Amino acid sequence: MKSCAVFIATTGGAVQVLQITPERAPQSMVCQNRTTNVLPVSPLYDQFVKPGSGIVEREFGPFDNASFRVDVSGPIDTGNSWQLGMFLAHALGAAPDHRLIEDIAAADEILWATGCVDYHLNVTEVDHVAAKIRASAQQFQDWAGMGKTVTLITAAGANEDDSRAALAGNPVQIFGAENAWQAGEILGLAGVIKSRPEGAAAASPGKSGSVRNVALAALAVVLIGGASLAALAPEKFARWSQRLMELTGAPVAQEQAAAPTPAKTPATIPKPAAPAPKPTPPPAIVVKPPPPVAPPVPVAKPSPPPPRIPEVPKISVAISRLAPPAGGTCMQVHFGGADPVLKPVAEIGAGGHRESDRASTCGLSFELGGTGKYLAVHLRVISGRFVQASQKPASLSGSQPVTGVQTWTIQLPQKAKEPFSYELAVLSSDQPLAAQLKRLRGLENFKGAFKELAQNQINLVVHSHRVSAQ
Amino acid sequence: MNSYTITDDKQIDTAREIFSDLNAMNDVLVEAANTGIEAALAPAELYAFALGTAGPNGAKVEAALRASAPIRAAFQDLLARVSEYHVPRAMAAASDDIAVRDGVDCKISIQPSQAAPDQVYVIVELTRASSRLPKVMHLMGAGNVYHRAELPEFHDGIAQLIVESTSEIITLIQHPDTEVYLK
Amino acid sequence: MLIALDLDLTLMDDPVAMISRSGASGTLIAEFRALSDATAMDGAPKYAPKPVMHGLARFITSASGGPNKDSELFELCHLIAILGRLAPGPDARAEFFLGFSKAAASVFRASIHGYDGAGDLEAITVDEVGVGVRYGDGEFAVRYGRIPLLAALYEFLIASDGFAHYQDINDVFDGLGGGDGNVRQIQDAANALSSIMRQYRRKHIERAKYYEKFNAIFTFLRARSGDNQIHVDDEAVLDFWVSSNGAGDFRVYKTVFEGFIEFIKTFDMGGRTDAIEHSAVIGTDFEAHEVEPDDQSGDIFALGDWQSPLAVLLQGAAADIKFLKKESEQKPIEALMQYGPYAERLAMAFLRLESFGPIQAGITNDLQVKRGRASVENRITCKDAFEYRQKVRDLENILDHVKQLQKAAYHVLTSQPGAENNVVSLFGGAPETSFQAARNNDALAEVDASAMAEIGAEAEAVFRKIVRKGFEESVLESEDRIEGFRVGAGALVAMESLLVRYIKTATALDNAPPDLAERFASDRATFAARFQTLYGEPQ
Repeated sequence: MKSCAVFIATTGGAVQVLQITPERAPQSMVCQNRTTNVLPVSPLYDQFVKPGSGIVEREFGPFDNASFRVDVSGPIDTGNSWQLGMFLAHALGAAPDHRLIEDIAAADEILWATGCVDYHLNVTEVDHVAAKIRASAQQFQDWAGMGKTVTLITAAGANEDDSRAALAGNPVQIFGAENAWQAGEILGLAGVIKSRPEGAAAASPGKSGSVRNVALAALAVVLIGGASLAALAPEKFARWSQRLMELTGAPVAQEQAAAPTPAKTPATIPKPAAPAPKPTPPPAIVVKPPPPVAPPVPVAKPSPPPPRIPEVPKISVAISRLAPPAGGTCMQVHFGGADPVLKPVAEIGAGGHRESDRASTCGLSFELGGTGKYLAVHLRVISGRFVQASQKPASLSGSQPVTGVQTWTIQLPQKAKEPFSYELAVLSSDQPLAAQLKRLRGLENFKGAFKELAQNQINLVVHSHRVSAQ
Repeated sequence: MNSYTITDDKQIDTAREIFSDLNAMNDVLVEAANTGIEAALAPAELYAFALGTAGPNGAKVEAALRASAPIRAAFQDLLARVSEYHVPRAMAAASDDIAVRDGVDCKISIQPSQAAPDQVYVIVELTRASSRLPKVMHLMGAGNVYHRAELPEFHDGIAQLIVESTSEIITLIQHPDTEVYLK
Repeated sequence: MLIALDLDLTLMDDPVAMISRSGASGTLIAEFRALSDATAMDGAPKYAPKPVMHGLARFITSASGGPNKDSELFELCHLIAILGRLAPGPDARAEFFLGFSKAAASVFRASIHGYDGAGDLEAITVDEVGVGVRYGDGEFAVRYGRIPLLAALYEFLIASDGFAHYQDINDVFDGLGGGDGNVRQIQDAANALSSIMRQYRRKHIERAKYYEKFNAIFTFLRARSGDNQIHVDDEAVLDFWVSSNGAGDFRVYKTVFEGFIEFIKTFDMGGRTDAIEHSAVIGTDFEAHEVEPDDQSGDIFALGDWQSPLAVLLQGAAADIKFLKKESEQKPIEALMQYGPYAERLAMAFLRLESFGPIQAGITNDLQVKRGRASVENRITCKDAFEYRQKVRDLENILDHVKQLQKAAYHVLTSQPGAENNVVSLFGGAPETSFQAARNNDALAEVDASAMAEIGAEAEAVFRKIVRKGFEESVLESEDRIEGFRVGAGALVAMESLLVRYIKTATALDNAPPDLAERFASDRATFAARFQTLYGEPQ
């Protein structure tokens, strides 16, 4: 059983996750030091746990208990950068051969994390990482003095770079994770996380927890998608390859001259290795990424690759309602300059969403993403009406390439004799979609369109939702 | 110009009363402006407290509620008029260990914490949607007891607090004679 | 202001720890202060000191006079009945009477106009002036200008005696909410409230000391007069003060003077059969003074309830304009404006107060702070007392300034586009004619066009010469400032009238033997002797 003490980075110093307790109360809460002092991030944590809006229950549930109470050692006031640490703390709880521990002296490893985790498990960057590291300086020193293995995980990219720069010369192991699955994998917890990238072999959740199996699955990810990934982000790709190599001992041939690293036994977490030479100013981190590489070349594979099948792009849809602020009204939101509060609408079943109450729904916000180059959306109104206060973004017309999540907001009239019931049809493809969108608008229902579109590598998802009448 | 005809004793008696009234009026105005006598509680202050907008006078109102039964009664009347939700006294046969109090369109329940045995959750649940969500819970207990607790934000019709199990709010919720107003 | 007296204080059975120095109990003072101390969000008083709190004090002490002392209760009950129809709902009454920040007619007007027809509007009329109700057996209207006082009364009533009557009063009000009410029910409700108020007055106002005061003055005057007459004159005031035993209320000349003024008011009011419901018709500030725009006020000195026009200049819209400098222009006329027509009716007694009152106040202060015998002895001689003729000259100087201010105000009010048609008349009629009439206190006279132009030019010239805050050219663009001048104009007219009358009276006194110089010399000796008796070292 591996014990891990988890710390969440804050600008006031690292705050330890003392315990996570299942509770029968309906809402999850974050309390300070086992007192009744409920921290301001509690509502956000509750949303983070709940199915529909959050990911904890989705990834580690279903649970018998209705909620969790997390006791932390200090204040966490604002923001969402606690999410990564909290997610990993839950993962520890879900893994049968791991546990969250409060007693630092008894911990096998100390985790220090900062990062947001979105609905799709992407780990996104946060602010003030260097300041947070400075605020934890004494703690890092104390842990080093205790001889503890300290693992620092942030979002890959600038946060990781900032961390390396701030901790130059410190024995802390630093990792940048693109998604929570990768972050879990660093601690050997990826097996308990239900969602995983395409192609990864599914480890029995929480049963074997074999690091080697998990790493091989990860390796498969790299091998199958590795070429395109490498083309997009060769530095990151090579970094991960190095890590995998260290984990599994698998002779993954690299396109660059990798630093020689001693072979490791598959089931063990590698000890920090000697620093590898690097053309860029090297941080003195033991586990280091190899230097940037030239254009990708095919990697040797242990077995012939499966035939490549053209893939339909993925689509993500999140619907939120714009609610009035506490004590306020939609009138104040529309005309009084009050800021609405975004409240995710829970998804119930494939594409279905829980009905929303008109009185507390000033409008709706759609967050749409697709892995294809082009994205298009059609809002088909079944009953009621909406107010298009601003034009639908051009990025959702299907005629221009898009990257990242696109947001579209509509307003709702406060008085309505009938409910506002609609279907949101979203298309994603690597080809322009204007013509398809036009066709879709003319269809009475979308049922017949799915198969035909899929044959042309166009993905279509349809979400339905209803806002009550008033 | 200042001459008056005295007709009878009745006129004098009337004049005496008027004189007394005028002097009393002057005295009230002068004393109110100059004396160190502390101002009493005004109904508008009590009303603002019931609405949850008491501001700097909150401590004064709370002290008055604790000290005076008539003020508590007046306050309870105001609460009844302005509150969106009300939990009446529990049935007489109910035991003292009440875990759930049912009101009109609302429910208050108590749930022990697994993490901290000396703490409990107070769960306020609204079963009717409203555009005006309560911000304060007023507990009017039997005897001289009044307690006020600010409610956190409601999410999906539920506001949840965590308090010490020995706190006054728990004692009051569990007592069948306590009435609760949510405003 | 009353000077602190060494009274034998009467302890009443009163839960408020602090002992009141007056006949009013500590509870009454505390409950009155709950409203007089209340502030709006901008820090200004929630209820205007005058006339609202003044009116509430008058109601509480039954000082309204006449047979209908509690007529305000009748009005309040009508208003409650109207609200019950306009805005049914358990919280509407509380919201209307307790949910506002500032008790202004405009606030209540907006509230009433904001009721969107949820109630029974058939018997209700709502217009710009007020709200009315029609019953089967009568009708009644409440002006918005009255509602601030009625709101203060509502708040006072339900909190009276530490909220002891809250439920009873609410039960009375709850009974007025139905749509089938009638005037009889309103009367019954008002009577029920009146009964509560009678008990409250008996409990919280100790009248014995006031009765004693009245009896002392009445007995004294009766003994001086013959038959069935009593005469209240200047000499009676002085003789009463000199001959009193120097104890209690009558040690201080100012207290005696004020006591005699109250005595005069008493007998003035006692002769009237109608209740005094008029607020002071001073100025034209609708918000604070509930003046009807078409009020023909006539002789403002006929009212039994004079209020100082200085209060109008120092509050509300006029407060931002520096009409008077505090030390040299306001202070010398403060007392005259406070006592108003009563200062003129006891002109000599008032002059004595102005000259020797400050000396007695100085002696009392010296004794309280233990400044030493030398200072007291020096004051006792009254050698620093203001001469009467000097006082009158000071008043004349200020009268000149007031006249200049009137011209400046005229210029502001007539400089607006369309002002010739829209200037609110103080007395009705065209602005120039009414202003001229007001200046001369004459009946309306014909003024031809050239005279009007001349008046206008003179007014403008005066305005430009005054270099004070509020008299800049830019005020002509400012609605708030124009309103301040409109409000101030009425006060200036009242001030001028009083100054003119008093100076006339004082001049008449000076023109007859003994003149003012001789009177001063004689009075100084009298006051010095009396001060020696009261405060001198025992010989």
